[in-house]
Amino acid sequence: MRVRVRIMAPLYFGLDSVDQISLDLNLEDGSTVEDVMNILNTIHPGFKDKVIKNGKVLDMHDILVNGRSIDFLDGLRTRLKDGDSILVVSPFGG
Amino acid sequence: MNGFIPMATFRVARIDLGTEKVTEEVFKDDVLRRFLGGRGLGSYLALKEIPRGIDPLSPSNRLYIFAGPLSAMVNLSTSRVTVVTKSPLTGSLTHANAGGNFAYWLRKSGYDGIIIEGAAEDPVYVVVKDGDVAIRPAGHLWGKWTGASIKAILRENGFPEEEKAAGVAVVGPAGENLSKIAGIRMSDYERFAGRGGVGAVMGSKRLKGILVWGTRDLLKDVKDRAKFIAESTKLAQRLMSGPTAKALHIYGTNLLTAVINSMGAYPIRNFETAYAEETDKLTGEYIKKNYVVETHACMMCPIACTQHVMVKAGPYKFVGKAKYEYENTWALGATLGLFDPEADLRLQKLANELGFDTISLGNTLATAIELARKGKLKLDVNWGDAGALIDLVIRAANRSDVGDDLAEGDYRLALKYGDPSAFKGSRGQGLPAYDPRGLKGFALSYFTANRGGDHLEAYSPTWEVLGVPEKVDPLCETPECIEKQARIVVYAQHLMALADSVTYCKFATLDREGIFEKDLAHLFNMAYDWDATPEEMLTIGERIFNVERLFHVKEGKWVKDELNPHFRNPIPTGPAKGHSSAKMFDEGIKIYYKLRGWVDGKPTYDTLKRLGLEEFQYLL
Ligand code: SF4
Repeated sequence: MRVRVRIMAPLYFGLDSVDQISLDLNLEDGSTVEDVMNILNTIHPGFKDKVIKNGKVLDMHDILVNGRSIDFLDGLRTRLKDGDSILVVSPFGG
Repeated sequence: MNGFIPMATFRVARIDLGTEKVTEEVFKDDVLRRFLGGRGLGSYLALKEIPRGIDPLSPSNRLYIFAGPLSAMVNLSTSRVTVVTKSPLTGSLTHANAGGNFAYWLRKSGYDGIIIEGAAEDPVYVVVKDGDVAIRPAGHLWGKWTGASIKAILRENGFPEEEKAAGVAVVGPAGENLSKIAGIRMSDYERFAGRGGVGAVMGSKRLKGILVWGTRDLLKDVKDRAKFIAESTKLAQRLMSGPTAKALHIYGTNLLTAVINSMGAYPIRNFETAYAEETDKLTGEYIKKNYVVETHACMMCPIACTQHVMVKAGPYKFVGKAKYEYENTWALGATLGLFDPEADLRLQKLANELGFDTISLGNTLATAIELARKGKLKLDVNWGDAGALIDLVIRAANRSDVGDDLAEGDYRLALKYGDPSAFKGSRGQGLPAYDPRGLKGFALSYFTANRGGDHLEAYSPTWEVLGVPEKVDPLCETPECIEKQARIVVYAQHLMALADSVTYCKFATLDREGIFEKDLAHLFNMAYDWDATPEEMLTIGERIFNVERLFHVKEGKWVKDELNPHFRNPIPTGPAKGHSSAKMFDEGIKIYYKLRGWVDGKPTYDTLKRLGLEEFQYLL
């Protein structure tokens, strides 16, 4: 299956891009949000630690799957399906 | 302490532009401990002083331009100023808050607040320097855009033409021509007291601008200066250790476009739906990469969230830099079906120069397009038509032909052309950049907001996304979620009323490491030897919120909270498809009224008594 992943505010996460990072990933069936974070961590070493600590998304950070916070789905174990859209959310204000 | 008794004092210059009489009033602990300054003291005085039923654009209206008792004293985003008046847009009380350096220089000038009464015969501006107030002719500045006006006022008063040199507030052509959606621009730079048409009130008084400057020692009345500085520095360090401060500093407010659109709560084409595929180039990340030229800070703010942009080439290039924000980008972009960032930024620059409230300007243009598409308004404009929109903004500022209708704002426009459903707001003011069907906290906070159409009286993404103070699912409608939403909205309304009255920036309340009632009590106790508790601070917020509601009661306007019927319809597309605001509002408002001690939007006698507001019981 194929999912689209976007990382908001890359500079905030210490990544070398001003604009959002967007990539399409081919995943095995049954993959979870955590699997996606592991893949992102191989592409951007250290990235996972900027978002997840002790198996949980950091306070005031979030990961959305199709617009829903994984806090209200199955957390990092949320299973993905073909065509899902994932957004790694930085803190913000407005 | 050599007999020195620390005490909060709040000095106000009351300036009658009709008689040119200036009087000084000093408020002390007895009043300040009940209302603080800013929005709180302004609303209290407005309720007492502004006669019922007056035309907001008549000389009998008053403009309260107030800093607060801690403004510009500590590096905690405290250079904020609030303008309170009877709104020409909503016909009842409004408050509008601006950052920049005006509050700082106002307090340095020797005053903590300015009240403008009456109206001048010919255009004037006011200069306050170290306690001296002068009224100067401004006929030569009338008609000038806001940026040029600020420069001219600085130059004429011996300052370099740099906005950091002194505090300057001005209106542009929109305010001069009494557009009900005009704001007041403040230095430094393109900061606005935007909402409620406060610029039209200033224009109706033929007041082009106000310059404030001085050398007063703002820590003079503080009990223990060294301790106060040390403790507030610790708070600033804590604030800066939080992640929201860091993200805001790097990208500014417009990180929100990606989050809110992804959640399906980003209003598109006048709230027709709440998600669009084509928003990539409106995001804070894209604009940072392509157009941001510098990051700026309001005075006394360690966060420094402000992003200045330039568009240097192409059909939408403009001269100089513009301050841009998430709200403006939405109001002059997505809600107009416009997704070209350069056209959007050009419209933002134009709105700032002409002196509009960008949110209401966007609401009005979106309403006009909706009316035109329905064949109700004869106008050749469509979604995303940047050229036509630029033309309409100029016309609105000058009130030329259809611009005369646009200058009246979205609410009146929809009514005049026979389609109230084209108005997407509350209490006569259009809504900002969040659809209350996809972030259901806003179903309660928007429609209970005293000034109408407002996201900043209680900002629900704080708890619905950031999880502060606790995370609530933005789409949940169980009885537990509705109860939680009502409770947090009430709390947030009190905290935000405090922020606008202390004064400090609401962006310091987004983070778990932010500045809350406990810290405020600590700061006031240290500064002025109060013995306030965090609960007492929140009660001050509650008192202020009730005073504002009493203004509506006095006017017999907007008392009962009502959900705009549009938001009973489900969102047609996107991630929050199928969701509406109906259940959250209908169920939540009952809990909300119970928590407040209100009946049908009106405080009861017992509530007034509990808050020490018996002096207003005659209004019940
Ligand atoms: S956080 Fe931003 S808007 Fe608030 S005071 Fe600081 S610079 Fe101004």
